[in-house]
Order: sequence, then C-alpha cells, then structure tokens
Amino acid sequence: MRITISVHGHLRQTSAVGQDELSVSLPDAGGMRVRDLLEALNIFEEELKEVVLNGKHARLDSTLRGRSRLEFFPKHR
Amino acid sequence: MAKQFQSIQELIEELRARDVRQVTVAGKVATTTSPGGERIAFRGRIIVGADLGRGERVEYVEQIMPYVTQTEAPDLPPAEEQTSQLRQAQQSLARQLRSYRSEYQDIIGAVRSRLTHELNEAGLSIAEPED
Repeated sequence: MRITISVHGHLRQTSAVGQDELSVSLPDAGGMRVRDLLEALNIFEEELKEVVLNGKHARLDSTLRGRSRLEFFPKHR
Repeated sequence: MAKQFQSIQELIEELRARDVRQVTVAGKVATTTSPGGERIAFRGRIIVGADLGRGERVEYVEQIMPYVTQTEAPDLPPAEEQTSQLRQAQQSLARQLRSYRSEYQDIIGAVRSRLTHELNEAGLSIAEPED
C-alpha cells in the first residue's frame, strides 16, 4: 500500500510530515483508516478542519486502499 | 505539461526573459522499505516552477541524492508476535517518519535552501503554498 501525504497551514511545522509531500510504502493492513495514521503523523484530530482523500472530502473513518493521496487541512492556519 | 529546464540558471533566464517574478518551490519525498522493514530508502526532489499564463508552465526539477538507512529489525516480544497487520503498518509508518526526520529531511532542506538563495539572488520571490 502506498500513501502520499501532504499537510497544509501550521501542520507543515507541527506534523511529522513537514513541508514536503511524503509518499510512504506500508504493509497492506486491511481496513486501515485515516484516523489510524494520525498518531504517527503527530496530528491531533481536534486541529483538523478537513481531510481530502484522492481529491475528495473524506472522514477520519474513511478506509485507505492501494494507492491513496491524502491531504490534511487544519482549522487554524 | 510543464516545460522542463536542465538547470536552475536556465529557468531563471527564461523567467527573466518573460518578466516573471514569482515562483513556487515544492518538495517531494518517496520512501520504500524492504520486506522486513529494516531498510528504508528515500528519494527526493525539489520542483521549482512558475505559471506563465494561458496554461503555460515552466519547471526545474532537482533530483536529490537517494539515501538508504538501516533500522533495527523490529524485534517483537513473544507476546506481540501476533501483532495485527494494522499495528505493523502503524509501526512501519512511524519508523519511516522517524528516519525521514532524523536523516533525510536535512538533506532536502539544504537543497531547498540553496535553490531558494539562488532564486532570491536573481530577484525572484517564492510564493507560499496555497491552502
């Protein structure tokens, strides 16, 4: 499973992703959700305004499959 | 499709000729891991680009030296041998991010700084990413 992650606003400074778009390869974990990444990414659920998965608005319970492109937008920029 | 330039200087000359004064700078990093997760390879690039209008775009892409790091093999205690696939994926992500931040991010940052310096010297400003 390959996930490309980018973050916006202050998350460029505070998350583990930083300012560059990061594409990681992960072992296939059936049913992995967006929420399951947050701890490793150092992103708090409460600071998120929007999550975009493959170009569409997503929820934290949205499931990641195959190749996914994920963007995190914070409430405060 | 953006027109690609072979060097940052060639891009700068083109932008001067077109009277373009602002560029974007974006970094992209891809990681791959060995099946056991002990080895992590990083590949990065910095993309300097500018929109010229009418759908025309110019870019210079600086490839950054690939980097491979060896992490300690995840040595799970017996009680965790049955670790779920989800936990393994989370651990793999955490390991890749840790290595990225401690070993590769500075390499990317140095290249970004050098390019930013050259762009600023040429009188070009760097646009903040649109959120």
